[in-house]
Amino acid sequence: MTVLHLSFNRYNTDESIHNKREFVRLVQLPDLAVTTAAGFIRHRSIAYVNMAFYAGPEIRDYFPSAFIYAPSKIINVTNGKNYE
Amino acid sequence: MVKIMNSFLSFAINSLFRRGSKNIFIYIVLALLITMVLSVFMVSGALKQELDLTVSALPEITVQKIEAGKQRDIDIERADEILNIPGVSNVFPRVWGYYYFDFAGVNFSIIGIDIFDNQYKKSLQTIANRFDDILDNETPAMIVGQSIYQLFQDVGYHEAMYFRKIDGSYIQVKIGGVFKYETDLESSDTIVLPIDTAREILSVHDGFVTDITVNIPNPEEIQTIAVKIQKMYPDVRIISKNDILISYQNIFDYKNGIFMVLLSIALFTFFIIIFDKLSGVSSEEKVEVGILKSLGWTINDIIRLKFYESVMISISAYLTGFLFSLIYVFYMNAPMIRNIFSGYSSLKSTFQLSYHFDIKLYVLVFLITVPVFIAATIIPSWKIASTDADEVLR
Repeated sequence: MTVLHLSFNRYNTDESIHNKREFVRLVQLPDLAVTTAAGFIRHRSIAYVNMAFYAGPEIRDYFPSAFIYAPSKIINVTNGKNYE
Repeated sequence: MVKIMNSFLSFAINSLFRRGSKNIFIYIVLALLITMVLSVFMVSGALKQELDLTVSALPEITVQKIEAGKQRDIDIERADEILNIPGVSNVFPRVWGYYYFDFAGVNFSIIGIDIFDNQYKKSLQTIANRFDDILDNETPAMIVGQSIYQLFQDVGYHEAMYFRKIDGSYIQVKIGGVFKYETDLESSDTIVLPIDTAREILSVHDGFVTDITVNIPNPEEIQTIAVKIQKMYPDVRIISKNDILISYQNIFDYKNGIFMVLLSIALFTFFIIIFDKLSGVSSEEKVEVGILKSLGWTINDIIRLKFYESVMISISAYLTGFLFSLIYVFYMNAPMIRNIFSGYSSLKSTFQLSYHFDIKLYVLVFLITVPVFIAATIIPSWKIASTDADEVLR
């Protein structure tokens, strides 16, 4: 019963999916705004490898959310390493 | 046959009630454990689903200029040159960045768009509330996410906000609209404002932009165009939509994530229960098995009895855990566990986790709990049942 109720009530409606996509199309930026502690967590997919370093040279991920959100695997892609 | 099964079942139920308090304790612990494991995975699943929903709207390629390991502003003329590459349908030079609002200790994402562009105007009308002619006025105006709007109301910026520029002076920006609640997971920390105002706040000089996004209608051509751009500008980093998809796939890295900690605690607890069940068969239970054997029960019968008992406990605990986790995550919006995901120094977003039915997750959790529990109950009773009745009773 709960599953059925959730399926009908708590699922994204077409309108809300459309609005979400419209927003992403507008700003053209990836990732979710769940945690905004630092840029490299907020937009982790397009962050670069040294971004955390500039918050303080001796520290890397010191935000609690960095335990949850791993740095992106593509963070080191520079100078076309994966394209040439 | 049915009659025998019924007798076994009623004997098993009575046997469970005879050791009521112990069995209830095991049932509660198991149900709590399953609730916890399922809840954590449901929250991460809901967030991941949210990411996957919007991936189709992302640009095919993002071009960033990297110098000395840092991202630098990129020459806007490169956008025109990239647009000339065959296969590229659209190019958007983008001005965006972060603004630290020290009063509340939070970061905003500031994104500059050409607010007078008709297409942008139209999409802003669909996704933002309180959107009116204020954006056409002389004073710059912005559209903010729900959390930011709430924060501005709390700190007293009811109509406008003052941004500090890099030279120390301030710029007034009116609040022109708020993004709709349903986009909150994407938009809660976002401020969208005219591109010139964004330039001023983020100090991006004329002729430069933060990065460039490229739209390519044919997915077959993405790789070729990425190589072409890379050859044209050796100093850029190219992130394709595929890279972002890969990044989304491993957003919650199990290797060093807190999930692993939670899960290992949960599993450890579960193993303790199993260990207890394995080694702690009480003498009372031994005597019971002995009596049953001397009454003529075979080893099969005793194993079947124990099987029914453990199936009843574990499946009812699983179903309870499943139900509780659904209620906890999707009706109550996962209090506490949600905070682990949203961190401490961020805007307190009020997003609603969207439901999705992930059958793989439910089966996985079922398989790592129920069969192990059943095995842990049957194995010791099989050991006792296989010894002689008089030896057990002695």
